[in-house]
Amino acid sequence: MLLRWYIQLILKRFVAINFILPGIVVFGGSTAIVCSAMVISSSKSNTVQIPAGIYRSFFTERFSSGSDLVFPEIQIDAFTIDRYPVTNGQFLEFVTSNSKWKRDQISNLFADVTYLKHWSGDLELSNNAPFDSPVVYVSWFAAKAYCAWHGKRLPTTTEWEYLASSDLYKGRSNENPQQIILEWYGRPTLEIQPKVGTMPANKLGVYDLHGLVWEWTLDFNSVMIENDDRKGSSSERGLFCGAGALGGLDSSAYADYMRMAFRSSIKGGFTLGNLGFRCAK
Amino acid sequence: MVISAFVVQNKLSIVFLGILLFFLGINSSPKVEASPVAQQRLPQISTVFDLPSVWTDHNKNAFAWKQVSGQTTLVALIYTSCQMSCPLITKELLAIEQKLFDLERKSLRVLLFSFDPARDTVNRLKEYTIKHKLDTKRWTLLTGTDEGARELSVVLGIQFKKLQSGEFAHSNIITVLDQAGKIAYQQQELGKNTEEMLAAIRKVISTK
Repeated sequence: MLLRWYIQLILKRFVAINFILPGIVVFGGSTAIVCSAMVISSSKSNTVQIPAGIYRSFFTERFSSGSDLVFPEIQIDAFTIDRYPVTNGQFLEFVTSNSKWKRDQISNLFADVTYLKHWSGDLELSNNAPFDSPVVYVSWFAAKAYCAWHGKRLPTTTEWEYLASSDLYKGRSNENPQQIILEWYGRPTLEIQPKVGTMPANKLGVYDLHGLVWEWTLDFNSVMIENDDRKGSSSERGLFCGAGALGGLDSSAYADYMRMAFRSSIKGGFTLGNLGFRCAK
Repeated sequence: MVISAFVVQNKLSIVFLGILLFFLGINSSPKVEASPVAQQRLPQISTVFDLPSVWTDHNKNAFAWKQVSGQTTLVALIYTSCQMSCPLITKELLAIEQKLFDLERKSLRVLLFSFDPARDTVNRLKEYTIKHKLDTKRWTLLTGTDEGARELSVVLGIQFKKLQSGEFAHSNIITVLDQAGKIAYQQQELGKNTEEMLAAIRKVISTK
């Protein structure tokens, strides 16, 4: 199994050239595999430094009455992001040391009744919740508390979208990232999540942004997408104030739209089988 | 007597039955599966009153949720720098209040939390209460932190976003809290279902 993993790693070109030589020797002895495997895993730290950048907003904005709708370019300050989503094992460590976030003690204000339902016990994982798979069935409040315990925070929607954007998508030049990502979204949710690191990394080395689990963001409720605008705009109907300034969205970014629509539909206490998170700083 | 006769005649079948029961009785090592415990559990019951976030009111006093414990409270999130057709929520709250009888209004509290703590200083909030002639015996305007505002908005299911222009896009939800801080009712749209809203407020007042 280790051999297969090693070969896949080479094929995906994640391995620097000086690891290929020990790879050739792999048939000669398992020690070679073990040593290089250890070197590879230690060359990947748990977090990634993201330099400052510009994110082209998914939503348009009108800067003053009568002005045109434009896609504002949002300045992103440098930040640090977890390389992978938070795992069941990591979350278990958190609830073990923070009993008010245990399944049997959590407040109804901070999670609904399916909180950590895939674990076999309040402090026990299960076959449905592998140690290295992304933790799911966690609420926004629980995710926020986990990150705070590690001296971190949840990433903002803008930061997350920047990492997930087509510009940072790592693939072949003839691929349409939106289409590929949309195909991943179309696959049914797995009952047992695969391990973190299963889905590819973006150009900055951040894994699993697409096709593993949806992820909480700090301001997920900053997304307002009204489903039925046939009865007149939602601003006119008195549901929102100021949303008229958020006039439109990038209709070619289908995958981005799905994420935004999802965020618009969830509440902070929700716990879902395909919703996890990672932390930022 | 009858029993012993029965046993003697059916020795073999009883032995087999015994063996069968023995094997059924053994628990195979429990499969480590997802437990259904979560659905049956009664979680800790908390309300908005249990939130730890820190707020200051328009008189510079520290706010504590227990100040409105035992009252009927209307809650909304606003900001005072609104340039668009504002302040819609405040106008809506005043309109709702007008429709109540004097005695009913006496037991009503209104809390307006800012999601723009950077600009909504205590002085700004104080000016706002004067400008809109709010009954400050029962209305309180509050400012805090971005984190506190975000947490409260999530708890109440209110969406908001700070735009590049400095304006805020936000939902217009007005929440009715009962005496224990539980959400009794939420009006989603301005000017819609006012009768339902009034009925909900009256229901909470009467349950005192």
